[in-house]
Formats: sequence, structure tokens, C-alpha cells
Amino acid sequence: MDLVTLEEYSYTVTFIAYGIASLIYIVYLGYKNENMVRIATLATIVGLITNLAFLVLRWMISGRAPFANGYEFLMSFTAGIAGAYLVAEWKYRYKIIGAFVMPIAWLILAWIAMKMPDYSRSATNLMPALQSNWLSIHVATAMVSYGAFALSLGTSIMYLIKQSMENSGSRSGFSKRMPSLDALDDISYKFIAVAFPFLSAVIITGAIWAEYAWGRYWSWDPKETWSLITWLVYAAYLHARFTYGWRGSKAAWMSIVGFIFVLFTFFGVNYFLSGLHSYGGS
Amino acid sequence: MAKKPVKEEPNVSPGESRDSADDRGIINTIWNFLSSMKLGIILLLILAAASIIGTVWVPRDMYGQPDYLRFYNNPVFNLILALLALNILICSLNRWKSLRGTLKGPKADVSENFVKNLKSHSSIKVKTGPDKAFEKIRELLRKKGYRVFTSEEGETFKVASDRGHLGIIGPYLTHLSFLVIILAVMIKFSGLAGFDGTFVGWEGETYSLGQVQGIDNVDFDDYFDIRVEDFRTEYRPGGREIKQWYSDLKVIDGDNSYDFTLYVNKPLVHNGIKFYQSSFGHQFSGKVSGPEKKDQDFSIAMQDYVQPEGTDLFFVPMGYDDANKEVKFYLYQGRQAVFDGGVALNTPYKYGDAEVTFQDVRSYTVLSTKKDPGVPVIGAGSILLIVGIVISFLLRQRRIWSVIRPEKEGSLIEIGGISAKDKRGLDRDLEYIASELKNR
Ligand code: HEM
Repeated sequence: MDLVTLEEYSYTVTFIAYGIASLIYIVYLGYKNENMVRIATLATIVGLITNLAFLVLRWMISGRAPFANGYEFLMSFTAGIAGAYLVAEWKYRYKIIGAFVMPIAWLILAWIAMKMPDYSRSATNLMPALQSNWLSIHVATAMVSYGAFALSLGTSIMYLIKQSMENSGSRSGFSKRMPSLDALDDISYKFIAVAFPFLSAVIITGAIWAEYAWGRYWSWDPKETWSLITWLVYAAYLHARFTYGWRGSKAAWMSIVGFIFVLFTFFGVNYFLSGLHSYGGS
Repeated sequence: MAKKPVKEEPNVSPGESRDSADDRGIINTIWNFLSSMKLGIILLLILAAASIIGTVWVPRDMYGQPDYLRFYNNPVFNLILALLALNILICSLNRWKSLRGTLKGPKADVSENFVKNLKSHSSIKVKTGPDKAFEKIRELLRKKGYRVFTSEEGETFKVASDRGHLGIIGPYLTHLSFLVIILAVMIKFSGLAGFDGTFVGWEGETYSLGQVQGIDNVDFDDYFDIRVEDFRTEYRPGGREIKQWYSDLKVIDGDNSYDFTLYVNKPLVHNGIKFYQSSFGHQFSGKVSGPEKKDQDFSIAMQDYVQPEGTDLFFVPMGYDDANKEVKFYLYQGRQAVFDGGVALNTPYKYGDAEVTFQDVRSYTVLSTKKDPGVPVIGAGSILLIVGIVISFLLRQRRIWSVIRPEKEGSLIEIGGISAKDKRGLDRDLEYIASELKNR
């Protein structure tokens, strides 16, 4: 089997594995069965391995770091999400979180399958400006940062759901099996606390790359600007949290809004705005 | 339970209040306004909103290209940045005292009520005497990595302790880094140092820095010459995609002269002046002929055209592959492209009755040239930013106080703590200490 076919398989297996994991985690919301959910964890692990295998294969095929076009960015993003989820599951042992996080990764892969034409998925060569190790570090840090933000999104949504169920006096087992509000708030914050330094690193490595490529560390290109905006929004979150005690639902809402900015920086800028990074799009 | 809004304890030591109460006069009012965190958060969000506007409503330059800088260089935007910088500066000055207090450590001499009113708090009765309990608590706290401070009042023992106190330096470094970065940007836009220019050089020619367009703020002592040996375009196998553009240069500066091959992502830096591959051009010469077989000589620039007499054909040279000595060109018949490829120098290319021979190519390289003393400052600011943020998040301050007094048949321990960032970690420590105490 040649590498290209192997790479296609690794995408397909990842897609199926994340799909199975998402499905089981969602079923687990209403139906508690530890053996069943163990399969979901296993599927996530398998999916992460094939997801990483995809990136390695892409690297071997193209002879460059697999961070050059929209397809490769998205595959890194899903690896970041699955990785962040596995860390959270291993650290906090609340498998129910998977129902709110793994579907994000799966939906991204489904979107690739449905919307991305073959030509934009093939391993193309890099134009001269993109031939930089700083670009690779830039995308690798984004993978960690965005994955952790996605996890925080999941736990923030859980927070709001659980809170509204408690407020309406619901006693469903589902609500009871979710982590406590305090724990959800804490997990959301902890993952933002990881994602924020990485986001800072994304912006800085991007600036270093631009300085080498164009002699301008910052040119207010829309992609740059939107990453700065995202960063400012999360900085506001952190300040509101520590100086005004904005925890709980306010913090959860801010984390959701922050993630909308992440997504806009990732997708929106390429579709709605134009700029230097437009070649990075899909 | 969720309905009750919880006001977290602000991250201050007992005895201090966050907003100083003495609002004497207008200066104090302004100072308080400028140092308030509320202003800080609002400014962060205003900055975000203003940035969004600049990505949606984009000024265009005379060629219709987006000119982002024009928006972000306007005075209103700069005013927001300046206010934010001022806010951070005053905020940091104001908190200087609490920083020192935190580094010194919490005071042990607190009242029993203070401990009882802490949100994470418990009362524990033990059978041992206060002095034994005191020893045990100290030992447990130390084991958990706390710094311990004590005071005694007769038979009552008091303990204050903290860990992760160095974390408070983190936000300071982060905020300082923001000021440093703004400073660097101001250096650049003041026009007092450095410049942004363009160097255009033909192969085989030597240039002095004085010929760089836009050169400014460079000492004559720092001037040097540059000889452009060669400009080369490297194509990928297949000859269609460009792999890289190279400028082979010779830097001529007395004893410090050397050859340098510059390409995209590999700038030349000499005497603090940087050169980046930015563009290029070629002049092509050769001959064409039409149905009458009469040679016409031509010399045209890249993307210009030559039309053999008596035809509707246009040869448009687009680039030059140095390795294969091949001219890349388009051929149009009327408006229709009929050929897109390459032909070697001095090799005729025929199309119908027409024929073209490219005989010579001269190339020039265009390098954007700049000097920006702010760059190392930005670099330092960036490192400071990352270090500051990592410290803020890794070292999460927890503080525990305890008051131990004798009770009949043993002693009563009031123990409680605060942690703005790691309440769960704090509660775990408190639980651990409580269970160890009860186990005796
Ligand atoms: C771009 C601007 C800013 C950035 C990147 C920034 C970053 C940070 C970070 C990373 C922290 C630490 C958060 C944590 O410990 O989890 C922090 C804390 C803080 N910041 Fe900022 N900040 C900015 C602007 C401001 C402004 C304008 C103010 C002024 C009022 C301010 C006041 C504070 C205060 C009072 C703290 C809490 C310090 C503590 O907990 O000891 N910050 N900031």
C-alpha cells in the first residue's frame, strides 16, 4: 500500500473512531454503563493515534511539516481536541464530558468529508513564504491551544445545562451524574489557563515568522488581528474572574463567547475577510 | 444552591482593602479611575471591538490593495492603547505594596473570627494540648510545601502559611511586558529610529546604502556596499511551481566583507540593517519573426509583450529558470492563451508562421530593507509575556491560617484558607490536614 492510500485510510479510521466515541458518550448521558463507555475511551485513543498517524504520513508524503493548508490545520485541530479530552478524562475521570467535546472533533471531520474538495486536501508544495520552521511551531502551539479551548467550551456548556436543570428542580440522573458545578467551573478555567499561554505563543511565533518572511512582525492582517482579538477576550475573562469573582455562569458564557472568536479566527477570517493568510485557507 | 451568587474573596491580604477609601480631591478620583480594574477590562474589550472594525472596514491604497495600517495608525486607536498602557502602569504601581506584602508572607497574628469567616474553614477538636497540635500543624503544612509563620499569645498559638506566593510576580511581568511591547511599537512609529525602505539591484552591479529608497537614521559609519552577483529563481521538478527565489549578494564593508545568499525566510542582517527578498524583475532580449521571416529585435521587461509583425500573436515572458536557462512565457493569440511553458535561451520557439528566440536575460532583485531597533525590545517583551503568564498559572497562591487554643481535655483548632485560583487544591490541603489531625 502506498503512503497516500495509507493516509486516506488514517483519515477514515479517525473519522469512524471519533464518530463511535461521540455516539457512545452521548448514549452514556442517559444510560450509565461503564463497560460501554470504556469502548468510547478506547475509540478516542485509537482515533487520536490514527489522527496523529495522518499527520506523520502527510509529513512523509510532502517532505515538510503537515501544517500548510486548511485540511492539515483541521486535522491538527481535531488531534488537539481529542488530546485535550483524554488529558481531562485521565485527570478528572468524568467521562460524561466526552459527550460535549468529542462531537466537536467529529463534526470537524464530517465537515471535511462533506465540504472539502479533493484538490484542497492533497499534499501540495509550500510557497516560499511558508517554508519556515517557525510556521510549524506556530501551528503546533495552535493545536494545543485550540484543543484546550474546545475542552473548556464543552465543560462551560455542561455548566450552563446543569445549572438550568438544578434551577428548574430537575432530578434526572443525567444532571446528577454530571460533575458538580464547582468542578465544571474549575475544569473550564484550568483548560483556559493552559490554552491562554499557548495562544500567546501562537501569536508570538506567528510574529517571529512574519519578521523572517517579510520583515514585519505585525501587519494587522485580519488573521493576525483576529487572533489578537481572541486573546484580548480571554484576557478579559481572566481579569473578570480574578478581580470580580466572575465564576460560574458568567465565566461559562465568556468561555463560550471566547470559543466563537476562536472559530471565527479559524474559519471566518478565511471566508469573510481577505488577507495574507488567505492561502492558508481551505 | 446555584442561585446564591458567590462573591469570591478578592486576592488581597487581610487588613488591606482593594479600593482605598480616602477619595480626597479630584486628583484622587482620576487616579482611582485610571487604576481601576473595571477600566482595564473595558479597555481590553474596546480594543477588541476597535480591532474588529479595522478588519471589516478596510482602507484601500491607491492600487485598491488593503491598507490595514492606515486604520490601526489612527489617533483614536492609539489613544485606546495609550490609555490601556497608562491603566496598567498605574494599576501596577498601586499594587506594589500588596506585592511586597505577599512576598513577605501572611501575618500570623489574626483573630479567631477572621479564620472562622474564611469560606473554606473548619473547626477541629483534638485531644492533645495546643502546643502538640501546633507542632503537628506546622509539620503538615511544611510537608505540603507551605511557608509557615507563627505567633503565640499565652496558650493560644497562631499559624499563617502560604505556598505559590511567587505566582504574584507573574501578572506583574505580564503587565510589564505589555508596556515594553508598546514602547517598542512607539520606537518604530516615532520615525526617530530606523526606517522602512526598498533596495533595487541589477545583477552585476554594486550599490551603496545611499541608493536604498527611504533610508533614514543610519550613521554614515554604518554604510556599506552591496554587490548583486546573481538573482535566481528555482523551480520545482515539472517546471511550473516556484520553489524559492535567491539573491546572491556580496556585502562589501572593509574587513568585514562576505558573500551571502538571501532568500525568502532568510534575510540578510548587516550593521543592524535587514534585507528581505520581496520582489524581482527581468529584462529579456531576443528576436521574433512573422510570416515575412524578417527578424525584429526586442528588449522587454517581464510581463510586457512582443508581437511579431503580421500576426495576432503576443509573447509575454513571465520568469526565468536559472538552473535550466529557460525563459517561462505565455503565448496569446488575440486574447486566447495558446501556450504556457518554457524555452531555453538561444533556442527558437515556433508557432505557426511565427518564431521567437530569447537571447539574453538580465535580472534585478528587489529587497525590502529596514532597520528597527524596536525588534529586540519586542523580543524581550514577548519572552517576558510568556514567562509572566506561565508563572501566573503555574504558581497558584494558597493561604492557610489557623488559631489553636486550649479547651477542656485538649484543644480547639480553627483552620481556614483562601485561594483565588486553586480553591480545589486548597480544599484538598485543608481536608488532608484535618484528617491527619483527627487521626491522632
Ligand atoms: C493586554 C493587557 C493585559 C494582559 C495581557 C494582562 C494579563 C494578565 C494576566 C495573565 C494576569 C494573571 C491572571 C491570572 O493570574 O490568572 C493578570 C492579572 C491581573 N491584571 Fe492584567 N493584563 C492586562 C491588562 C491589565 C490592565 C489594563 C489592568 C489594570 C487595571 C490589569 C490588572 C490586573 C490585575 C489587578 C491582575 C490580578 C493580579 C493578581 O491576581 O494578583 N491587567 N493580567
